[in-house]
Amino acid sequence: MKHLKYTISFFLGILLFNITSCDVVEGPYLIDDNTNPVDTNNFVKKVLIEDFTGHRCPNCPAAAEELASLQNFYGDKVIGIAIHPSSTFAIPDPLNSSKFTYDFRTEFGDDIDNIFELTTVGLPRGMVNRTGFDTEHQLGKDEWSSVIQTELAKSPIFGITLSSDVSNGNGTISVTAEALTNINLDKTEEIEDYNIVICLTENGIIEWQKDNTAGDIEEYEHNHVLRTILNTTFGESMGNSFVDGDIWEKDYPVDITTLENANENYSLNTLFMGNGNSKGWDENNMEIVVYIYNTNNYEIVQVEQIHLTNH
Amino acid sequence: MKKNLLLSFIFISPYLLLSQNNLGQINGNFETNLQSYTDDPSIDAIAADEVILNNAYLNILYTKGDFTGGLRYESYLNALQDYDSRYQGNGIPYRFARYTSDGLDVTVGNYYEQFGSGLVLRSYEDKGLGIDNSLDGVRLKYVPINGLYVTGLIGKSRTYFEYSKGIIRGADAEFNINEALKLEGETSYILGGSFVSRFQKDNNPAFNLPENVASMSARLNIMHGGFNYYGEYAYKINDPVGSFSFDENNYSTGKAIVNNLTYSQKGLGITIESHFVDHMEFRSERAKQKEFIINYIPTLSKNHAYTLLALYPCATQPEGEAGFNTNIFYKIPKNTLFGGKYGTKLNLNFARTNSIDGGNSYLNDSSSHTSNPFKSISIKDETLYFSDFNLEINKKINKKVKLNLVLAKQKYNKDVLEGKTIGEYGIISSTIAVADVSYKIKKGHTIRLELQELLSKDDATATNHADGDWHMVLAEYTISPNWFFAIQDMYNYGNYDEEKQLHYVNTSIGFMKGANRFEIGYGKKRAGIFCVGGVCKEVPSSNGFSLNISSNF
Repeated sequence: MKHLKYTISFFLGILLFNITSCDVVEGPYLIDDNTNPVDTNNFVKKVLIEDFTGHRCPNCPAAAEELASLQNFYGDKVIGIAIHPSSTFAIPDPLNSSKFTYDFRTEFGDDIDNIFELTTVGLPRGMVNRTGFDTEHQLGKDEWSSVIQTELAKSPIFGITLSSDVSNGNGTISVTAEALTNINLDKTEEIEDYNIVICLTENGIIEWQKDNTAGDIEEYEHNHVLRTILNTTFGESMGNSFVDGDIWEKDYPVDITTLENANENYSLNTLFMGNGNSKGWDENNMEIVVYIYNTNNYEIVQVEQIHLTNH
Repeated sequence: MKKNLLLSFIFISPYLLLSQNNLGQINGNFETNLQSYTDDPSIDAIAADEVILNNAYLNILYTKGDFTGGLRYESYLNALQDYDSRYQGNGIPYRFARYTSDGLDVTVGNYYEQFGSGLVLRSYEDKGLGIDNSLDGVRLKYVPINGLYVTGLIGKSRTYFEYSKGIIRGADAEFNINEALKLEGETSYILGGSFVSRFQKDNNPAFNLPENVASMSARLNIMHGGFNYYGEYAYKINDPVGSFSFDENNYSTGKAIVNNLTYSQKGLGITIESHFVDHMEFRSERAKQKEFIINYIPTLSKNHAYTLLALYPCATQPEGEAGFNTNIFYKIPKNTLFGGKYGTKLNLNFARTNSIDGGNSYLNDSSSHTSNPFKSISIKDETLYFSDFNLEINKKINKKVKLNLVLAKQKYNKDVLEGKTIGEYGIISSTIAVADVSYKIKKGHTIRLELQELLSKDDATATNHADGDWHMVLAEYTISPNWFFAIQDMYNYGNYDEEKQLHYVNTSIGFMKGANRFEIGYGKKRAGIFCVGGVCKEVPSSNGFSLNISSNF
């Protein structure tokens, strides 16, 4: 009987342990305090999410929704690019088919996927500022928010200012980057080189999308779709040593028709089952996304976004 | 990784030295799997950039008295195509030291552990699936009084060459009443209880997330004569994934009920297994990733060894399913009409799983739904996930000829089990027949022939066709104890797409001698999409040579 007492107290012990070490959350679950005041006078650290997706990937709309929710919460501090890399999820059907005929793939997206290998671990996946390369950068959508927290807590080392006079398919984008601190001044080894990348994305593309619950959606809104990169996939060097306040500037001419033709050519001549149906860009729905990354570890240190037109 | 290597070296090297003085014993095993990948446009197989890929493992175990120390060196240069690419490089991700002293069993380093049937905790390794979620930390086992077995552990769960963010704490107690009270009855009782908790910091500013998520279970095992009953109930508190998207954070609790009953006597065995599972996926991290799962819900279906019987395999849906699996073994006695000279073994199996009442339990600020396990007993309105009705007859005809026949009817909900869009493939019904004959030519020489046929019927309401009908032939010649030769052809003659009516031929030669085994193969493998926990992976088709070598010492 003494043994039984031991046993009972042991189980009571487990029960006690159990009550003290678990957190049952009673509603409401959503925290109302959604105030993230953005100090408009100073540069703030922003975060880029590259969402690897595909129109035939049934789990991908949930990742797009996650991105939208994050943007809703953090406002313009979270910037997104949707990359449709060449995998079976992004392959279009022939032009005479009824669904999935649009070719979202780009040479730039494929180049990025070749380095970061997101498709090899399955979609949807994303990178947050490309942190954690090359072991912990391929993140599931539910992992994004925690990395965003860490990234947003950092101080920005660059500030980016963008302007654009593009209209009717032509114009110039002006990019200014300012060093917000001394960078690499005293270092003699392991000097970090910084590259800057100028991308164009498009929102509101209405095309087919597979969805887990809703099936094949005819009028799905594809947002943040990577259309092109103006200064090659991995950008151009800004140098490696900066004094606080140093300015780097450059203008980029834009001709939408030429850029569209380049994507069409890639689709028709390079891609498996490419059908060239990649045009119809609407400049009024397009964004300029510019990011600066450290070439040693690919980590994006700052990113900025503005509309392409109407400035 | 370097740190791991160094640590393991420090751990192990003194014992290596000791063993040379015959102070203990070292043994282990080695395995390497090499595969070449070439382009094959007919099956969309793409050559690997590296041309050949290789996975290799070496286990070393040192034992001396009550002490055991071990490690596993793993090498993925680079990982085989059907492996996750995050297995990359070399390392010693598994090393441990363990000793027992006066009834206290201490393990530090990596360990595998299962509580009960695994509903709240199972860390295990399965090379075939590419799963290894060993825990790294401390584990204690103790027997305080006769019949009471207590385990306590704390650790982090392995994911590829890293550890996931959550800290896992667990305790389990098993109480064998007959042992404790020295009862000598015909009936024996074993009670058990487990508790597992995961800590992960809440750094989501939009939602109030639980940082300590607990999962617990109680189990009962009663044995009486030929009867054996096992029941377990598990419960998990709220465990939202930590998304920013309102609909994705499910705050409902999870539960699972398992009831198994077996009866056995000479020549007869009956097993009835059933479970109800609702929102019971328990991960080592809040975020949903297949590799993070640290519990296990047994699959309710017969584990088929024949290829076409396993072409459409059942996969457990931990977020919500109810089902059962019944197995009846009967041996028709020798020297009867159907038993013949050697007797005849029969195995009848019926398994079925389906959705649960109204889907899995769901709770957030604006909606809530709780499923009712008792309603799920009625399968009338539930979506079928998988069913398998099969009969296997195993008969020894004479001293030279053995025969195994299987006839099966299967239904497979491809959309649910493979994470496809609902309505894409629907439920595939198939009828499968297998005949397996082995003939002993002379001493040490055996030839075995398998003929398999799968006739499949697509879902009329589905938008896409599945693969259609298949033939399969396998011939195997064994010269024991050293050699075997095998050739098999899978022919997808019934594919709706004529270009895909292909032969998948595989050949292999194996040589075994002493502790070593060599196997060379060549052939084509089918492609497929592999989905677990909502994340899908494309497993590519392949064409190439393979070389497997294993040995032990």
